[in-house]
Order: sequence, then C-alpha cells, then structure tokens
Amino acid sequence: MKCSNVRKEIDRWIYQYEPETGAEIHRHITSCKACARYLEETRLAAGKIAGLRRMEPILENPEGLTEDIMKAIREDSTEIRHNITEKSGRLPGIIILRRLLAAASVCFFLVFGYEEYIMVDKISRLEKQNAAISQSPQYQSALNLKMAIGILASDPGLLNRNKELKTKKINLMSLFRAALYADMAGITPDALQLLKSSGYGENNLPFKSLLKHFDSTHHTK
Amino acid sequence: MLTNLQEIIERVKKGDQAAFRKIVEEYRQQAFSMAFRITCDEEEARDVVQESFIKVWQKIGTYDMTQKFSTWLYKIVANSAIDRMRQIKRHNLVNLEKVINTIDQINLENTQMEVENKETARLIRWLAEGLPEKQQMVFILRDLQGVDSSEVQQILNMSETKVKSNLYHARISIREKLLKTLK
Repeated sequence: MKCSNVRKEIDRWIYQYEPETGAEIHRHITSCKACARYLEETRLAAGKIAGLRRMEPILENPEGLTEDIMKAIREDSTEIRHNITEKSGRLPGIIILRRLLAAASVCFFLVFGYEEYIMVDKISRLEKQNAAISQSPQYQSALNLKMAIGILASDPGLLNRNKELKTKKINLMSLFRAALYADMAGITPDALQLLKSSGYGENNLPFKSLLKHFDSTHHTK
Repeated sequence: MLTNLQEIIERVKKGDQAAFRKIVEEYRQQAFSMAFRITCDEEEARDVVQESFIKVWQKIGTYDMTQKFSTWLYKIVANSAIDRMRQIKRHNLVNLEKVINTIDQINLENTQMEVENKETARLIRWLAEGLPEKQQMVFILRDLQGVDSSEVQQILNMSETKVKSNLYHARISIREKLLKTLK
C-alpha cells in the first residue's frame, strides 16, 4: 500500500473519529516510520482541535440577550408583521388581488372619471349656449319660421302649387331660407315682399296666417 | 431540546411572541458559539445573534418546514457573522506566547475546559489566520462547531466535493501550524 493512501486513511480515521480498521494499514504503519510519525502528529493536532471544540464560548447574561431580542421585535412589531405577511408569501392570493383591485380602481377613475368630466363639461357648455340662444330674438324668429314651414309643408294646396313654383324656377324652401336670413338680419318687410312675389295665392289660409305672423313679429320688434 | 418544535414554529408564524421566546432560549447558546467562532469577538457575536434572531422573526414565513430548523437558523447566523468578520479590521497581531499557553492546556483527558472567551478567540484567530475564507468557514463549522458535513454544505451553499477539499486543505495547514508551535 502506498504511503499517500495510508495517510489519507489516517486522516479519515483521526478527523472523522472513526475506529481504526484495516489490518493492511496497521501493518504498513508498523513497518513505515514516516507514516507512523504522520499518525502520531495527526493524532496530536486533531486532539488539540478536538480540545478547542470543547472550549465552548460562554454567553454572558443570556437572559439579557433574550430580552434585547424580544424588545427589538416588540418595538418594531407592527412594521415587522407587515413585512412577514408581505415577504413570507402568506396569503399571496389576497395580497395580489388587493393590489390588482387598487390598480384597477386607479385605472377606472382615470379613464371613466376623465370621460365623465368631458361629458359634464360638454353638457354644461351646451346648456349655456342653449340658454343664450333661447333668450335671443333671432332664436324666437327662427322657431316661428320653422313652425310656418311645417304648416305650409302640410298643406296639399301648397304641394300642388309647388309644381307651378318649380316651373317658374322658384324654390319655395330657398325663399323661406332667404326670409329666415332676412328676418334674422332684421329686414322682415323685404322678406315678406319676397314671399308675396313668389305668387302664392291670397286665398291660401296657411300662407295668410304666416304673413300675419311675420307682420306681428316685425311690429313687436 | 424542544420536543414540539414544529408546533412552536407554527405559532411563531402566526406572530406568537411567547413561542418565539422559546426558540431564542433554545438556540441562543449555539448561535452565539457559531457567531463567536467566526467573528472571534464577544460583542460582535452578541450583535450577530441579536440581528439573526430578528431576521428569523421577520423571515419565519419563508421557512420551509421540511428543512431542519437549526440548519436554516445557522445559515442566517453564519451569513451575518461572515459579513461582520469582513468588516472587522484587525491590526494587532496575536500574542503567540499566550496562544502556546492555551494550546498546552488542551489535552484529551480534559473534557471540561474552562477557558475565557478571550483565550478561545485568540486561539481560533491564530489557527484560522492566513487561511482562505472558504477554508476558514468549513474548518470552523465542521471541526470547531461540530456541524455535520451535509449541513455545512447547506449553510455555505457548497458542494460536497468543495466542502471536503476545503476541509482537507484547512486541516493540512492547521496541522502544520500546530506542529511547528508544539516542537
């Protein structure tokens, strides 16, 4: 057996604290002075290390150390518990769900809140515009004209007459539109003249009521 | 030795401070020994122990119950102690005469050695001095602390081969140092 192998075995015995076995190794040690000395020295060194292992460091005031530890965990308990719950991964589903809900709420308020704001803003602006328009005399005139158009459009006589108007290349709606612009511009008599010049008969009751209405609107102004 | 350790750990996981105190009382001495042997300084070792138990309290939720609790705890202690050891800058040399005196006191018959922490620290420091950090750690945990090989692997995140190889080289160096002194 080679000396190097014998010394490896010696190390294993000595440091692992296993019982010495193997007759072959024993025979080698008896016949090899170098390996015998190696065994002796290794035993000595290992013995000193084993002795050092028995020199257990003494913990002075162990109760004081325990109290310091307990005090530290109590003082920081709230924060520590928070960390334990987060870091330990305990109830991860709830934690993830809670975070997702928070994120979703933020997104919801960002998207829908903005939309709501835009809608409210638009409605508010429209209401302001409507209020401004409804108070203007032009708006009233426009409403009256719209009503008149409705009356004329429902008259069968007008529908027949419309064919004649078309042959004279006069568009009744253009006239009304012109009358409307004229009325809005404050020149109602001209508008009336324009309508009269369309040749619509005096016997047509709706037209007569329309003329009356324009007259009254003009005089009230 | 706590017979109902698993139950106590379950209670600690729920935030039971009284159960945690039992853990501290059970393991404080072992934790201190390990920290002291690594740092070779009593005050530093106390700080390491305190810091380690606070970490245990904070991280108990991550502790896997299938793992041995002492291994998990010693890993925390060893890592904290190694960090401290790196920070400690030692300028003064070990008094060799005092070291030899202590070594001489050690003999196999003396099973109950009452030695002051200061002397123990001096001797460990002298023995581990000059060894690479990995060899130092394997030697301290395996030969001084008596942690078994598989636990050393887990504590230091080392393969079995690395542990064996580091331990072999550490023992050779320490053997030579001791023999030179004893001659």
